[in-house]
Amino acid sequence: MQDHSDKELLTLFRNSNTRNYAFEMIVRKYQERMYWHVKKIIISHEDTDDILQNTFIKIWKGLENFREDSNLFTWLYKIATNEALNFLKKKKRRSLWSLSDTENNLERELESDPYFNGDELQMKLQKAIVTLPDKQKIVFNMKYFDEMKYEDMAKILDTSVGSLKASYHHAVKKIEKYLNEN
Amino acid sequence: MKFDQATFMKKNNKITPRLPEIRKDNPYTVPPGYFEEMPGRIRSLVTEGGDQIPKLSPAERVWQVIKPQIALVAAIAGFAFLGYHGFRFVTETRHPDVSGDQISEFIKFNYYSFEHSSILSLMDEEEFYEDFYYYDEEMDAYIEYLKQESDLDLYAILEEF
Repeated sequence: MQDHSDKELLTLFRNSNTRNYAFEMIVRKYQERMYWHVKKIIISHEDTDDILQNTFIKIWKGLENFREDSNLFTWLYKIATNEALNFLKKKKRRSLWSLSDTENNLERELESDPYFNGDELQMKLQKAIVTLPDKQKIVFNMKYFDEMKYEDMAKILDTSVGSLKASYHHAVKKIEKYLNEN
Repeated sequence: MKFDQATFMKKNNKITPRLPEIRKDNPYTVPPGYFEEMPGRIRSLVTEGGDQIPKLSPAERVWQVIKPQIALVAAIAGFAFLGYHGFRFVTETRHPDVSGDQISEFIKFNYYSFEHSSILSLMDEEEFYEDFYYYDEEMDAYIEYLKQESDLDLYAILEEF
């Protein structure tokens, strides 16, 4: 299988004969990055898998109308982020959880996650991250782990660079405080 | 003021002395073969099952959003209705059709405006004493007998009857 650029993939997708092939290529190209992005927000593998499936179904349905105002990856990331945030909102509403209950629940999921393979310090960092508000959590993950540019993050999260910098700054301070206290 | 990444990182490093100690690589794994199988699963979802997800009209989407809120309002209204009528039922059973004003009017009349003369005039009427004049010879004989017998065992009599 050859590597295609996003532009080529979009052209292939618009051709009904190569649509399925192009879509499979898009899934192969971006599935891992999208999985890890969602996983770090949601923690549970099963829930992340469900969200990713829904994300790709939405992409399949919307890709024909994608206008290329933004690049493909930004658009994919945006859908995955929204799906993950909506999932958390629904979960909170369903369970009538308070904020701290949600954090405790995510922490429990983290401790019992069979797919966590890191050391003690990495676990502590992940626990610190789940205590952050959703927006700060996403911003921290994208900046710290994915080393994404603020400008790209701003397009994905529909916000300003200044606001992202402030969110990251607050997130780092809270994480540092957590690491020192625990 | 232009954003200076180096200054920002330096500043962050000042307040984050513990973060650099932590490995930055991904601490998570996935089940074996997960990413190899995913494109096939997604393909089958979008080509076979993906379109099975019902496409809702705008009205249906609005209905889906407001349905839980309407259910909540209906439940609250239901509880309020039951509570109100339950309360009314209990209070009206205790004092059916009698208001507080009526009760105070009744007390006022019977306590302050009661005419004792009406009782006296009633007693003057002949019928009033009719029951007192009722005379039973047999009963009189019993009474006389009981008056004379001072050592009667009243408990034995009570037990008998």
